[in-house]
Amino acid sequence: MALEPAIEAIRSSVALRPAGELVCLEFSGPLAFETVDRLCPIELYLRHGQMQHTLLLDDDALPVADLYVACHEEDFIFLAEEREPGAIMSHLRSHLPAARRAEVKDLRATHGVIALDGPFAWELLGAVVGPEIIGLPYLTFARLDSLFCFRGGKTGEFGYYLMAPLTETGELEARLVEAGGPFDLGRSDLAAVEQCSLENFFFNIRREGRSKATPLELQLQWRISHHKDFVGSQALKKRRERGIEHRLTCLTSREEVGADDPVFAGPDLAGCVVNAGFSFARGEWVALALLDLHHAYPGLDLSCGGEPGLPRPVRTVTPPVINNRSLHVSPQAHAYATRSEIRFPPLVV
Amino acid sequence: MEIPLESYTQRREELLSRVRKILIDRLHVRRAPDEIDPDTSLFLSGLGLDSVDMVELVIACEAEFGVRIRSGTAGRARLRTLNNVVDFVISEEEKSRGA
Repeated sequence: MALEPAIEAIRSSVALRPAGELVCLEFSGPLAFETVDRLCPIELYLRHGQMQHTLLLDDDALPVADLYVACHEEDFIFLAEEREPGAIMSHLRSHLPAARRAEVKDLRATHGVIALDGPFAWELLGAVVGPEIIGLPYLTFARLDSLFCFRGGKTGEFGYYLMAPLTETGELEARLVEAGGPFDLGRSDLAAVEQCSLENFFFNIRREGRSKATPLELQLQWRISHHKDFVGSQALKKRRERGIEHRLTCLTSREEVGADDPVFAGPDLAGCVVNAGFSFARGEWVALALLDLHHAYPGLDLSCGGEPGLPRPVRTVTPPVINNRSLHVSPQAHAYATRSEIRFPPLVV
Repeated sequence: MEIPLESYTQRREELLSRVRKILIDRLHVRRAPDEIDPDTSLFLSGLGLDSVDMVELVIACEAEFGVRIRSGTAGRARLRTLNNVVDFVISEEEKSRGA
């Protein structure tokens, strides 16, 4: 799939894709809360219909999964992206003996997930599943018959995950496509979403998530608690006491930047790129690097690459590097058909 | 004249500390200062501040740093993260020095 039109749809209208990367699990039974609480590194404050964005960590406090946990009556639903295929189930097996864990059902056997992203995703969704969905707050979900509609997203735009029985996902997608014409509905894929995530400094478990960095270096402390016991908490405590040496920092460059490129401050090594991609909106490369703490600040001119005498200039910047249109769209006041009346600032910060 | 790296990063750290203090003292964010990362989103995902907190944050930042922050979404775009706030304060300082 061509990346640029997919990103354009995410940034300006609405884009649809099957969210095949999501691992969907249901935890039920009397041990549901205890099991989920042990796994999640955040204090769980969830009532029915609410979600929290957190992580799963291994014993070394390295991320295993990027996780939304949702409370559905007495049960919990995980919508997770994993570090590598099978990582979550392996994590469950090794940290929760079967006798001491909730009943876990892999919903991928029975359900499919469609993702909608874009500043007008809410409007298309309202047209297809009903206007009551338009006011769904961020990090909540609604159940409409057999359809679960989760509001989350990792692109900086309005984002929804629609989870339906496998027997119904084809029809749901057809209805969205049919209703999507007036919204210039586009098709996207994981690569397009990952580029948008990068521009918005959303965590990518398959890129920076594999960099051997903990939530402390990754600037993900908002997704954890330092006051509870969970898988990885001892390692995290030790790392915090020792102090971190690197921090994830956003870079931009007119020249190509690639994952694993070293980053230099003058002649000195300052860190390493862990994620990079070309931003069509900015017309330049955007990257994330783990930089030593002396250089993990926006506004610094550094260089990148391994060829002696041929440094590629990079600049540290404050993310997000996109002025998301969703910030300027109000479902109460706006519509895609009359979007020309909305005074959007330039997309590039 | 180029500002030495150490002075620049010290200035940023000082401003980051003051923004963290606002978040904890005025907006009652229940986190220790070192738990609030500089690029963490203040609203929605991240610290989860809401529109009422936004108003309080604008008032507090204006008083603390002597800057004027535009209301509405344009102002909100300047306050998406701690580093955004620091960037804005530094750019306003540079503007007033140049004026």
